[in-house]
Amino acid sequence: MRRGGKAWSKFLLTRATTVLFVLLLISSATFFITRHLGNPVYLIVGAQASEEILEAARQEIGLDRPIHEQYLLYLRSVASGNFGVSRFTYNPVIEDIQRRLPATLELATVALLLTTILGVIGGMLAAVSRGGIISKTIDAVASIGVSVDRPWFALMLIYVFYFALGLAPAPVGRIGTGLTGFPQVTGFFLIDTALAGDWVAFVSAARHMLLPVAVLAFTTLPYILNLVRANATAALQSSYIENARAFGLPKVTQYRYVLRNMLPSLLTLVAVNYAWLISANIIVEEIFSWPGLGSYTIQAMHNSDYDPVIAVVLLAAIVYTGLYFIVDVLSAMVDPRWTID
Amino acid sequence: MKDLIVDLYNRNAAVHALQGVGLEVAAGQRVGLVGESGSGKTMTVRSIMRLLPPQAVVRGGRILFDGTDLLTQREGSMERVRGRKIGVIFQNAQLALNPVMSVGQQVADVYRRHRGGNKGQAWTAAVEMLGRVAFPKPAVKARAYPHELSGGLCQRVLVAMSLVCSPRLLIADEPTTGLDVTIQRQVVDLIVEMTAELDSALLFVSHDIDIVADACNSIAVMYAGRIVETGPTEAILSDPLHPYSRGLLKSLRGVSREHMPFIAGQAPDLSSPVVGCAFANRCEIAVETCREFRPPLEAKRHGRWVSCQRVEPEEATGGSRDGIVA
Amino acid sequence: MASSPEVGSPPTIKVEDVTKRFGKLTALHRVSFGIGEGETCGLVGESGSGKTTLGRCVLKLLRIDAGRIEFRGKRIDNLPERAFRAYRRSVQFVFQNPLASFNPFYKIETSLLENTRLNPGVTRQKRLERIRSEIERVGLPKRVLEVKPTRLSGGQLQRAALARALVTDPSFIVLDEPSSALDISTRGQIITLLMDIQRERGVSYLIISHDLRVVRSIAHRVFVMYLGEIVESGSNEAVFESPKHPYTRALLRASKMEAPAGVLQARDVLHGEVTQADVALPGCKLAPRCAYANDRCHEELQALVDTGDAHMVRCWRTTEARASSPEWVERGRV
Repeated sequence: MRRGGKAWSKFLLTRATTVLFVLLLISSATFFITRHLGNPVYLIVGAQASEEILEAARQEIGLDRPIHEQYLLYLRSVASGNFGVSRFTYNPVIEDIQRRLPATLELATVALLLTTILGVIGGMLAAVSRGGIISKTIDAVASIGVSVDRPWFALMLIYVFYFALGLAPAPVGRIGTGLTGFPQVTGFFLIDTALAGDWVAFVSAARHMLLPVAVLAFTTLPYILNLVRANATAALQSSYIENARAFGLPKVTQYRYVLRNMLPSLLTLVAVNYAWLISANIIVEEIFSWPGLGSYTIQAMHNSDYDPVIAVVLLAAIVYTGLYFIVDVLSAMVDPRWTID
Repeated sequence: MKDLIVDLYNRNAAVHALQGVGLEVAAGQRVGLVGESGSGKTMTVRSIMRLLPPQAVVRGGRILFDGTDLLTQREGSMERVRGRKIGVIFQNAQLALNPVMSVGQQVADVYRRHRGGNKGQAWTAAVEMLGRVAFPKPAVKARAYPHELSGGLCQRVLVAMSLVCSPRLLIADEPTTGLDVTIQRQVVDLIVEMTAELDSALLFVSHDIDIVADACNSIAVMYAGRIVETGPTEAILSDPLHPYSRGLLKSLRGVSREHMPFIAGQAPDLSSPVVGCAFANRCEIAVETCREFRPPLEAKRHGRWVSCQRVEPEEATGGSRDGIVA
Repeated sequence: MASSPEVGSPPTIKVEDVTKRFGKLTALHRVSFGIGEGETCGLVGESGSGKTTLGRCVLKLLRIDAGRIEFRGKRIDNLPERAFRAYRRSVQFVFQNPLASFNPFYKIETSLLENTRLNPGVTRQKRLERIRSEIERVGLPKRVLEVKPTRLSGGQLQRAALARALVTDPSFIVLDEPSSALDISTRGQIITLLMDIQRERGVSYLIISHDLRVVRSIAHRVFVMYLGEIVESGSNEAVFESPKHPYTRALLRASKMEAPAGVLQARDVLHGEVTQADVALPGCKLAPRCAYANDRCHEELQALVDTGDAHMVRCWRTTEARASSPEWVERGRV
């Protein structure tokens, strides 16, 4: 899409409005659903409480107010970042989330980078070798990755590499015990340990990441592989690649052309992957005791502590819509065939 | 001096696409290759460029370019030949261009490949090339993307790309198909002008004999994977010898009110090799022996070669042409 | 505006003042013409002329923005859905790309049967008979019905497309570039077939083509379009033998269809390209490209003018010159 001023601003505005609208919709849905999930009052005071205590508790939470008042209160608190207090940790939810987010983010980012790089290279290789042994191997990898059950796979990897071979560290978190002495600047252990020059801790953090990243990468790799392979195969047979060959352009340039063409679809897929890795990656975090959002959510669910759950759901919505928005903008910038709809 | 001699058999999976095609393009000459669908003209072009689809197999023959047999070259050397020594302009220019890059960028890429230079130099050169092919407002429009330009303009971009390479031989494969009639003339004139300027030879391939006639000094007519007639342009247009050429020209010239001549039947299916003359089943003057023996491409008049036993030679002009598989 | 020549009974198709826009793009601007019973009208033009759009509008595949279209005196551009089937039965079409016209998963027979469902209350047996007779009529062997489209050649498929159009016994067929996808040496086959069928059944045709030879042989009357307007119209002989509009002349010259010697000149060549931007010009849309254009051409809009015998031309130079010297149009000299 041409970077023409007026059309471009209109495009951005429309997209941004859509994002806000979706967020509003989701938060409202979350509100109304949870209000129907049984009586939260009993959670606070226990099932045997007397009427007066129940009534007092109800008033405290605000459940005695009419529903639209509750809704407005809710919106107001969400907008101000107040997501309530966790019944389990007794901390404001927002603080819990802030503390746990970097762990998830680090895991997600590393997994994403690995998946994307391997996926693009693998997909291109598969497209170029067209039926050869490389292509078949990559197909096999993709098939297995997509069919395998993630929790089972995680447990298997732990069994093989930790129990049997002793190569990987115990799945008890992000770093070996007693190694957290370094100053936490970003919350990303890999970065912080490097900044502090604490190489022992760096290695430990990296080793602890191996298995969870392997699980995540292996199970999300197939999608990128297939996308890249399909797009590349189609592109390699297209007229413009043939033309490029005819003018003597070397293979490297041809591949550059092919990649350029699939960027919008690729970006979208990467965005979807990233959004998932951040907000919905629950089981792997739990299995590896990774102190991130996912395990937080599970813990909250086990304790019927649903303020954190709502907060994470909302966060997920923000992450997804935010990433989609960025990808939309990037795609429009990269592919000139897009017109504003 | 001969620039290009083509002489080959080709089989594409189960289809006998080319059955002994012989062609010669001398330096600075403009030769036209005329054929309809299934004639093998596109296969010939691809064979020369070694851009055949994977299931195609060249079963024999040679393609001599400046003395070297292109069929024996490896991909690496072919990459050097393509563009630099032999350039191609394909039909459907809009599709031949990468849709996500500006046309200027694509011309610049070709420039950098063949003439070196950094990005800035390449862009300037690209704009200049576009100007030389009468691309309107090149400095501005070079940033345009292929889908924003008309077919005629895209074709000019392709011509610019081949200009950059200054090839010894330019092959134009149906460059005017799909373009408006009034634009076709412009494109043809441009190609002829450019080849003259570069002192290149031209092989112009098309189903439209009129367009080919405008561009070329001599014409070769193909039918069912074989060359059936060659000769100077004026001679073939005014006095076609092979029955197929005659039928083709009649289909074009003989149109009048309520009368549209045609050649009855259809071209043979090439999945099995044809016995005898490929045109026999549609020919008005065919006799029994036509179906039995494949007629060799022989000189029947001075400078005119025809593959038909029913055409009587006029003077003694010598026997079969060298290097042609008959 | 052109008035359609009287043919006696209401014309099979009458297009009046039709305008069609696609967003900001004007494809058709107040186009009018009529087609009589058993008559073939040729619609000639290049890309952007609007000829394909016009065909689609007549077929009701597109809705017009202004004007009216009538079929045998009855207005059809605002036809309700129920009456559409009857219309489609009477008005069929054949398009350019024969392979794209057929469902690749169906046998030819199935595709043709689909179309016979427009025929009211007929048994399957009768429909099969109908299909077989039409396939035979277009010169195809019956076994063609049993195969899928990919097995047939372009020419055979196009004939099958024609058979499919004929099974509903239409009174009018729109043919959009029916032969352009076929080899030059075999185009005449289908065109001759079309002419034969017209003689037998009295079907009217609207032939849309950029191939002037096709129009020359089959059309009774010819309409030349440029950027959404008719610029010249008249009988086949009039337009091809004494073309008056510079665009028609340039087209003929570029197609190497020389009219009687000396009519076309070296000047009958267009430079530049067609652009939609020209539609907004105050005067003649062809002026930027026309070798004959003068100031008036650039500034003033012209209307279609009758230059005799219903030979209509939209051009100042023609109509002016005619007023001053009749030789211009006969000999092509200014």
